[in-house]
Amino acid sequence: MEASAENTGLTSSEEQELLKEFLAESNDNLARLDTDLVQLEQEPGNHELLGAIFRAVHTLKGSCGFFGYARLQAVAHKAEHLLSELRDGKRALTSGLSALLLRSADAMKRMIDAIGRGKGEGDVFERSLLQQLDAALEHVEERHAAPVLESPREPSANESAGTPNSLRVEVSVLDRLLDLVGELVITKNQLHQYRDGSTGTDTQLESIVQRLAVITSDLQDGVMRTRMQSVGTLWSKLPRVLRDLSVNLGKKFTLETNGAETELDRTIIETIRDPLIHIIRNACDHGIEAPDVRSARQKPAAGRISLNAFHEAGQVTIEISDDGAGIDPSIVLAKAVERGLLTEWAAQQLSEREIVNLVLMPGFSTAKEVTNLSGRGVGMDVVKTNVERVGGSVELVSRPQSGTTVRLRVPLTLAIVPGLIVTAGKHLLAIPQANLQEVVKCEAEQARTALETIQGNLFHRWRGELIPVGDLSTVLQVPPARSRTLNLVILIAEGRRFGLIVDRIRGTQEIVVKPLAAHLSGLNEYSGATIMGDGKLALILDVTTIASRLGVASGTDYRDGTAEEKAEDSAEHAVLTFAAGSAVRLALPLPSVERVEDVSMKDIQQVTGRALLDRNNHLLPVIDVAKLLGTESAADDVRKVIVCQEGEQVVGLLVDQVFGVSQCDPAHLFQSPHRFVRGTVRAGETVADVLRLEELVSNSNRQGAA
Amino acid sequence: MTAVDGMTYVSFSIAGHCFGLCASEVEEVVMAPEITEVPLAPKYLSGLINLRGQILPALRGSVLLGLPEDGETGMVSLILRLKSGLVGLQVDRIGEVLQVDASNCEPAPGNLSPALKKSLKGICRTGGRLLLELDGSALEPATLAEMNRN
Repeated sequence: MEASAENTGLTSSEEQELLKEFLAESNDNLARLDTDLVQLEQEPGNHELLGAIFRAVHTLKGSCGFFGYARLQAVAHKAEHLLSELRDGKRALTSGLSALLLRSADAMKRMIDAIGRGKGEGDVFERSLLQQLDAALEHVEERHAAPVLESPREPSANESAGTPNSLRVEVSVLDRLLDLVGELVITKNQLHQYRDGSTGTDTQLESIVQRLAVITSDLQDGVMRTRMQSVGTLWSKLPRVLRDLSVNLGKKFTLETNGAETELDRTIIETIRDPLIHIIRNACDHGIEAPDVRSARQKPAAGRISLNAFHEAGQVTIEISDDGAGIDPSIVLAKAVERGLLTEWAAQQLSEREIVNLVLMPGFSTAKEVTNLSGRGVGMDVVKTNVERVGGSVELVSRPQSGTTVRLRVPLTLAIVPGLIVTAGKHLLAIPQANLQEVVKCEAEQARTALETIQGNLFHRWRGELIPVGDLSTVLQVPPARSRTLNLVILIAEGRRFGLIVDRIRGTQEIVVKPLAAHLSGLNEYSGATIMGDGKLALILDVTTIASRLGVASGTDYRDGTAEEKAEDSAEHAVLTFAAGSAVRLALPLPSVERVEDVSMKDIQQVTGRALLDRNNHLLPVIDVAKLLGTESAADDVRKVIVCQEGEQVVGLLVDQVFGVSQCDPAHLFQSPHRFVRGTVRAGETVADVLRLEELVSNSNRQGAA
Repeated sequence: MTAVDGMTYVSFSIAGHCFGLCASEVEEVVMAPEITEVPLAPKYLSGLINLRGQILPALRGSVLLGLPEDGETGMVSLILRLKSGLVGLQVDRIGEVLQVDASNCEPAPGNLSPALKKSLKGICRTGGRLLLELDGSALEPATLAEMNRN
């Protein structure tokens, strides 16, 4: 340590203890100072606030004097002097003055950081800051016209009484506690397993095991709660961030927050800290328009950033919305193609939602010019990576001209999560409950019909939705150990559902997540490991990676070069082939197909100019493909409807027969002059005409309107 | 370390060769631990060991050193403390703890196989036998990941 409290007569360990306390207290004070100063800028007459700021700086000055940090003390002293003049009404708060005070707070933070890292007060002497503070103190002109403020109030009773109820605890102590609770959970599971295996009943043992289970679960809850922090601790930094952005960008912002009390494990709070700031910078820099553009669009001059946090299905959702220009899909698409992130053919297959979410792909940044705020090469892909690392997801929703919402979904905690234990061959694997939708068990008879094979790809019809299915043993390259029962787990990754065939299902239990050693860091298929009741280990599956290995994750089928093994597949694209009337075999790109349904012709209502299918009180516009192509439909009463999404619109295509999914090579697309046909491709053994879905839809819209 | 001008080694054998590791690097020896295989893992990783609630990677000594595997390969786990944390090294048999005078140690000769030579610090003569001194840093994840790429 550069300075020491020589005259205090303390031992060095006592001094270290005091120093630690000083650093923790100063960090808290400085964090509050930021928020308070920004608020003071908006409410210059708020005397209570000024008093709080003055006290924080005063405390800091006193403590650093004790430790002999002269440079820190000098900054604190001058800032305190300015604040006291403000408090006494000797000067008014100008924007220059508040900027100076904020800069002082920053400088103090830097010095406290340096002290914390054992580097004394750091290398920067802050001379220019000190000179500016001196200049400001001498500046007489500012000393008039200040509103005369009342003398500072006494600290209220609850303020001084607030401290004894809370205690500062080292994070490492909490981490150790959590480790121990993890061990306890495992031991409890072991005891359960032992009891289940033993013959005969021992009522006393039974009640002890029950009691232990209850206590363990309460203790686990309690320890988890000590690690919880409210999202508000993240948000408290934002007023300062927005203020600085406002100055730098020449735009005005207002901040609305909702659900600041929503709690998350501190490790997750840490993970989303930087992504959150990045998203907000993006929103301010690229989302919210310049003031003149806003006024032309009849929006309020100040851009609105709103934050909303809430619990949803065992996860926490944090939404960051702005009321800016939204994201222009055509610009995003052009950029993505230009950057070689996807081929033009693939680009045409994407829905608007998917296009907007391309922004999250690595190497993407839409900023036209590099500003000093964002666009430093780190973009939204870093946000996505960070959030996905903790098992969360990111989604973008853009409303053209009216704003963008970034939705982060993160788990409540990482340490102990419920999971489903399954087997593949002789291997035990755990699937986090957050990714699990349903477990489907089919006995011998059903097992044969549960899966449909289309061109070597497996599908399962789950609640009317056709979802791709993969085999866990295949992904993990292990010999399967099949039984007569088909065990299918329905999983969700990045918003897409898929089925995974596993050999056996062992049931759910609380799994204590242990990180994998660095030696296994290359294996993205696993997110960790856990210890089972009998001491055996189970690997925890990373469902997102499993989905992409199976090729069922969103986007992976038509993305170029995301992974080496995808390179071969990138030339091939999946289409759904079908027939309508006497027309040749037809096809649609698989990504635009939502599901296929059987319909009876009497379910289709003919209304003025268009046909509608009534499904669960929901009307779906239906396009008769055969009629549109000028052929006769096969007269069957029962036909198929292919439900597809085109942009924001969901439509059904009425066809006679659906053949299945084929791979085709878009590079060999034989262009067609027909208005509704993009071209002819080889799909599997035969050829098929790929329809232009957007033309079909806009044609049907026009007819409906006519 | 008891001898000032020498080193204490834990000796062990892999595929008939006698190896030694500095005793200060060896945390403990676990006889026949239960190893959980990890699908898709590189060949040098035989799996994971549960060491009293800590999950450690178990490295297959014979594969790392480019030695042939025989029937009893990797029955014993030597728990080592590397910079990256604890790891298990699967060896065939554990030997004695040896004191070796520094003057009896020399660099590894050039005519060894590259895989073996890269993993050695040197060779020591002790009691008429040769002890191949393993380099703990050759087992660090970064070194192994590079080896796996080549």
